Parts: sequence; structure tokens; C-alpha cells
Amino acid sequence: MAERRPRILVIDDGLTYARVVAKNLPEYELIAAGQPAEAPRLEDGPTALAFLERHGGGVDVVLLDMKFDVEQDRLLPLDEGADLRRTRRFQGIAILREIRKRHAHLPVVLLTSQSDLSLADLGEDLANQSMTYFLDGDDLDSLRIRINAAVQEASQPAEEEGILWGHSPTMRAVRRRLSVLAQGRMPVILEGETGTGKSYLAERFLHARSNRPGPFVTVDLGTVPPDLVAAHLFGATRGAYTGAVADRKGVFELADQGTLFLDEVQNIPLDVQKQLLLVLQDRRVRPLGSSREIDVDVKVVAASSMPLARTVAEGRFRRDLYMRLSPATRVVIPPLRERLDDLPFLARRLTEKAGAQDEAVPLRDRIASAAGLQSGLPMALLIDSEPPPGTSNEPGVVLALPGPSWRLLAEHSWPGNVRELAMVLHNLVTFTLIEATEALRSGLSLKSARLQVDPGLIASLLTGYSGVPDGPSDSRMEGGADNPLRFEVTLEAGETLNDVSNTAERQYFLSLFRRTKGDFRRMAELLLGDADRERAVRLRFNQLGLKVRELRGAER
Amino acid sequence: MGPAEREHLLDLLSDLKHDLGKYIRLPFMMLPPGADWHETRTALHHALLQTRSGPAGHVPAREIWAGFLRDAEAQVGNLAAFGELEAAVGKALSWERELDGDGPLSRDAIEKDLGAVQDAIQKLRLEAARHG
Repeated sequence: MAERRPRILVIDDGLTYARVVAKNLPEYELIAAGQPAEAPRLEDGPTALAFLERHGGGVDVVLLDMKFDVEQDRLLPLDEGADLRRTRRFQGIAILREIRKRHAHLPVVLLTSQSDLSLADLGEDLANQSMTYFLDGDDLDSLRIRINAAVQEASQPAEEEGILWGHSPTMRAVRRRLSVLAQGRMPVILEGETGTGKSYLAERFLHARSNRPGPFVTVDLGTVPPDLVAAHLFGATRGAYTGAVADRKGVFELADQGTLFLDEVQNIPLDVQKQLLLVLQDRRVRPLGSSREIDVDVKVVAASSMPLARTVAEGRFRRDLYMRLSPATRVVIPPLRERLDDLPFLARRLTEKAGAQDEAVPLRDRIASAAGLQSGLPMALLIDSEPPPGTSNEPGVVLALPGPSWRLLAEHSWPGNVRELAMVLHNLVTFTLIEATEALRSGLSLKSARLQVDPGLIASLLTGYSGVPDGPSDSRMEGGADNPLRFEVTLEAGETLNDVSNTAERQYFLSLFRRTKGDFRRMAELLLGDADRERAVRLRFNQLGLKVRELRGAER
Repeated sequence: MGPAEREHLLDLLSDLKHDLGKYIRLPFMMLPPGADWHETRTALHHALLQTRSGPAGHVPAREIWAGFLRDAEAQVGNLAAFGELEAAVGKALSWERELDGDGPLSRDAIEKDLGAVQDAIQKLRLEAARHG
């Protein structure tokens, strides 16, 4: 069966665009709304809104004109005090505002160039409005490209190759930008708080879509000692520095023909930043101690948990390097608290994933079997008795979150973002499954595989995270922590910002060490949302000159 | 020209740029590269005779231009770029004589003449803005 063509609704007092779609864009279906039959379009806002009210679900994209020369009674009001001329000239904005109230995610292509509009005085920020596009060229190709982008974005899957995009307009916009930036060799800047998935997106999306034959190489610049960063990046010959007992390749060379992910790029010492700039410019690296230069073809993805522009303003990051990395390719991954509409979707998918992990599967299947269900079925999350969209019955073992329990999750601020959510759900699933299997073991029987989650358990899991203050590895992009630590840093002439930052970081690590009673797995969980990254925390701990033995000795 | 007069003129020129400048060339901009001369003639018909649609139906380019002159000629008549715009519009409208023909048309020549209207309006707007 032939695939359905995307359906276009034209809202325009004129005929040109309807004619173009009808005649020159056969890949789309022009919705037969309005007149004339050969190029139908809706001529004014009220008619269009009434149509969308009845048939909105059947529209894939709207082409919306800006100026409507129609009778006054067919115009939607624009702003208080706007005269007739102005109301007609910006009628597209008035229509768009109404469309957005009822159809937030409907793609709309405005049939005007952004440069032709002075929208500032209308208080509009359409350029950053998701699902709203300007037609920046008035030729057929520009129109085709814009419509295609709108349709693609709207039909974007909520999950793709393990990436949980969700449904939020912001994440759709992120995906749209990343799919463009994945092409070619231009560097990309990814900014976002810890746990937003920067490294995952860099590998699974940017690198995977780049078609580059080389490997994906990652380096966490927050954990490399400052005096070893240059050798780590560019390589070194034997004897180039104390401890260089053999030649070593740098990550640029290792990532040749591939992608290099520079995590926490803001931590690169200033003197190395100059060298990095030259490498990006010349596409050649010279290992420390070597006179030989090596050509490298690397796509650089630089990630930062704080706005790089701020580090430039603070003098911690070179402006020329920032410009070379190109602010135009900067993509900000939103924190979870700014896309809470996606929380049910994410929670459901992460519950299913947690239930499919090796340690959970035997427990899950044991419960399924005790409840008379087939084993091997995925786990589901039931939120406030609402089954997941698109399903009519509960598939297997179900984790049931009544309204008050769900609200605990929904009202949490998620400082550790999606990574924190994944950890909380992982623990929730594990604890609940263990509790249920323990009950079975003690002779209780199960009438159904629906496991009610204890709200107290949720509260205790969330407290475990929210008690962790912001810090060097868990920084918020904006705003302060709910429970900030206060550090004392004595500044002396000649100290670099790096020294100051290390001093603060040292105090932060110390406080965590004491709080967790020296449990590095717990520290890794709190700092990085992943207990298995204990090694990274130990390494940083050592780099900061902190000695576990001495600290334990001092506490005894 | 006083500030209010100038604002009014700039408004009129904005409308002209949109109604005439954009829409007289748009049917050609949206023609596919391999359009035959029948399609080219149809596009010319749309560009010149159905330039805009209003409450009373289609509005030809000639009428849009006449409306502008009626409202603004007194103010723009002494601006240097007005002569250039008049000439550009005259040349674009002269393609009307080809509408009833049935022979091939030069798409490039038409596009050039129709596109020149937009450029000339823009030039006049800039001059009007400077005269404030």
C-alpha cells in the first residue's frame, strides 16, 4: 500500500502558495478546505481555526500567510490599539497565537521571511518557538526544504536507537539541530547540566550519523590532571615529561577520521587551550617532545556543564578558541525540570529498561509466574491508574504509582536530570521486586502482578539525591543549590583561577568523603549519578592531592 | 516631509513591497526549473492579473500600482529613486501584451523584469527613510 502523503493546510488570502502546493509539490496532499477547487485554501483566521477545531488531527503542516487583506469582520484581533492596517499586516501572528493555544505541536510554516518582519514590538519570539518556521527564501526549493523540515520534526520518534527524545518541543528542536550538525566536520558545542545525556547524544547521535569511518573517542577533561592534559590530547614522546616512559598517542590521533568528545572542555588549562586552537585551525598535532606533525581529521564535540560563554567572560576560556569551536554550533540540552511534560514517557521507558536488566529479570519473571502470567514480558509503569498510551491492558509485571506517589516524582527538581531519574527508577524497580519476591518466599500468594509502590520508598530515594549540593561535577547551569555548601578560598597574588577552583573542589570532595564515610561508590553515585564510575571519582580525588589513608587515619 | 508623513509613506511602501514587489515575482520563483512555456505563460498571468486577492476578488498588479500612486505620489514624486521604480513597474507591466500570445516566452527575461520591481521599491524605501 502506498504511504500516505503528508497533508498541508494553506491559510492564505491569496492563491499563489495553494497553487504551488497543488501543482509543484506532488509529494504533499493539499487539504481540500476552502476555494477554489484546484487550489483550495482557507482565507482567514476564524475559518481556519474552525476547520482545525474539527479536523486538526488530519493536518500535518500549516502554511500560514502573514498579511491578510480581508474584510475587518474576518480578522482576528491583534493587540489592543492596533489599527486596521497593522492588524491586516500581522494577521498571521494573531492566527498563529490562536493555533498555538489549541495545537501546541502543529508545525506551522510562516510564509514570510523573518527579516521582513519587525516582531520585536509585537513581543514575539517566533525564531525560538518550536514547530514554527519562517520561509527565508521565496523560491520553490526554500519552500520544499521548510515544509520537509517541519514534517520531519513533527514525525520524529519519541525514542530512537536508545535515545529518549520524548515529545517536548525543546527536545525536538535539539534533535533537528543535531541532525544537521552531525554532518560534516564542523565542531559542535554541547551544553547542559550533568545527567542530561551529552556524551550519549555525542556518541549515539552525532557520531553515529556523521558517517565518519574512524572511532568515537572520549576524554573527560575534569579527571585528567592539568599538567597531563596536553600529552593526553596531543600525545607525547618518551621522556617528554617526567613519567613519560614510552611514546603515547594523543586522543586526536586516536580519533583520526572519527569523532573526539571533549567532555568538561572548560577544564582545559589556558596554556593548552592555545595549542588546541592551533590544532583545530591547522588540523595537525605535534606530540610533546616531537618535531613531527601529524595530520588529523577529527570532528570535535566539546561538552560543558556550564555555559562556555560564561567561562569566556570570566577569563577561564579563550575567546578565540570559543569562536573557533563556533558558538553557532552550540546546542543546549535542557534540564529535565524544563521538560517535565516528558516525565511520564521517560518514567515508563526507564521502568521498562530497569525491569529488563540482568539482575531484575529473574525477580520480575518469578513474580509474573506467581501471578499466572507468562514470563519474559516487559515491566510497565502505571501512573495514577492511567495505562500507558496505546495499550489497553497491563502487559506483565506492573509497578503502580498512585497519584500521591507520582506527584513526589513530578514535583522533584531533578538536579541530576535524566540520569538521576534512571537511577531512582532502577532502585525503585529493584527494591519493589525484591520486596515482592521476599513476600513470595515467605509463603504469600499474589493475586495479580501489579505491585504497589511504597510512597515512603520514593521519598527516601529522592531525598538521597536532593541532599547533594551542587558542585564541580554536579553543577546547575543557572540558579543556586537548595542546600549550598560554603567554601572558604583564600586568594593570594599569583594564584590562578585553576588553583582557586581546585581549592574549592578539594573542599567539596572532602565534605562528600565525610558525608559518605569514605564510600567511593556512593560518592560516584551522588556526583555522577552512577556508582560504577567510582574509579573516576577516586582518580579526581587523587589529582586533588587528597589521601584516603590520611583522611581515614585522621577520622579514627 | 514631517515624521508622521514619513511614517505613513514607509507604511505604504511596506505594503507595496509585499503586495506588488513580492507577489509579482512569486509565481515565477515557485516555477519548477523545467517548466514549459504554457506554464510560464500561466505564471505570468497569475503574476500580472491575479497578483493579490482581496475581498473583491483578484487584484491585478496594475491596480495595486495605481492605488499606491493615488495614495503616495505627492510624497514620492520628488524622491530620486521614484523614477527608477516607475520605470521598473512600467517594464514589468509591459509583459501584459504577451498574455494573449501563444508562442514561447523567455522566462529569464520575465524574471529579471519582475524581480526588478522589488529591488526598486526597496531602494525607494531606503531613500524615504533617510529623508525623515
